[in-house]
Amino acid sequence: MRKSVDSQCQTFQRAIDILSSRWNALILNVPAGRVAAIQRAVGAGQGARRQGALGPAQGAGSTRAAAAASGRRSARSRELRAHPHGPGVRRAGAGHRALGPRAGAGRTTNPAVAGHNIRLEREGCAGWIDSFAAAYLEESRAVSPSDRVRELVEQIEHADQVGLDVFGIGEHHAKSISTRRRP
Amino acid sequence: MILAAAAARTRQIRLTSAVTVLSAADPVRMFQQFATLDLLSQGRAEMVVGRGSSIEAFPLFGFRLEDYDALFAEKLELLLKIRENEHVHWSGRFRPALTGQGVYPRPVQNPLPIWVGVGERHSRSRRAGVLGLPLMVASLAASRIASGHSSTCIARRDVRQATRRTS
Repeated sequence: MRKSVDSQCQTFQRAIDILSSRWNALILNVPAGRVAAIQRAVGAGQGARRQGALGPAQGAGSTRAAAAASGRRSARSRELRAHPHGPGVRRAGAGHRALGPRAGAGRTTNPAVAGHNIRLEREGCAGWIDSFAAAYLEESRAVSPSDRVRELVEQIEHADQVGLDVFGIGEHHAKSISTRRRP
Repeated sequence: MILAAAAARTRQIRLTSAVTVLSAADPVRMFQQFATLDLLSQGRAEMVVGRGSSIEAFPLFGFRLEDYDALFAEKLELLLKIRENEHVHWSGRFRPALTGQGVYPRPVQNPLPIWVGVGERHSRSRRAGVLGLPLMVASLAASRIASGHSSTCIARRDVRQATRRTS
């Protein structure tokens, strides 16, 4: 049973649950005054990857500690930013391919998205993901640069479908970004 | 280019850089690219411009690290001028002057949203505040992230300012 951390952040929770294990950075787009709630939500998201279920709310700052402790990926940036307008209410289409950890488990639909109304409150949290086209750190997940950038476009498409507000991509000139090849 | 590919396959999500290393780029070209992205996405493009958290871009494109502050200041000024004016008169140290040439395409959004992205150096935060630009703050050092409240405070303060401007 999934425990809700913040009723106004459910969409972002879902998005993180679905998408987060592949990101090396997240930008959270929040109205002023809701930073702590977002930090708790993301803290739970971090827990989800380790435990397979959303854990209880953690205190502000735990997100960052968890990110620093994670050897699987580097938290290149963790940013807080407000958005002047809230997103609308959207219905996610059923049947689109799940991305993230579940995709590898053979599921073709995402249970957190398909058939559900994905609702973002105007005064609630809004989702924001930022990513470099980063290669995966684990050898087992290394993909070709071509596959990685195509996958990134799919991830943006998916982020759009689950109702995230903004997707940002960082500029980088290092070999480790997007150029790591399968061994 | 990734954002352009995404623009063609998405409908609602806003697409932004995070960040564009403006110091090592040509503001004219950058504006043209993001204006094109704005056309492709029907008004969903944004730019976040900054110095960049790493320094590879400077030698790669022939700029000196010693100039990073001056480069950013000058190029940001030019970028904003292009955003405001179709025909630009401008001269500076790091780029040939513009003498009224038109910069095209023009974006769907007027003005195209431009944010300033900053790392730990808050001097750029002040610049964004002076220019009235919204600010995006990144906490790049893990050791400082745990106590990153100062960055958060700056982000929230300037964001309120930005919200007032857009409302």
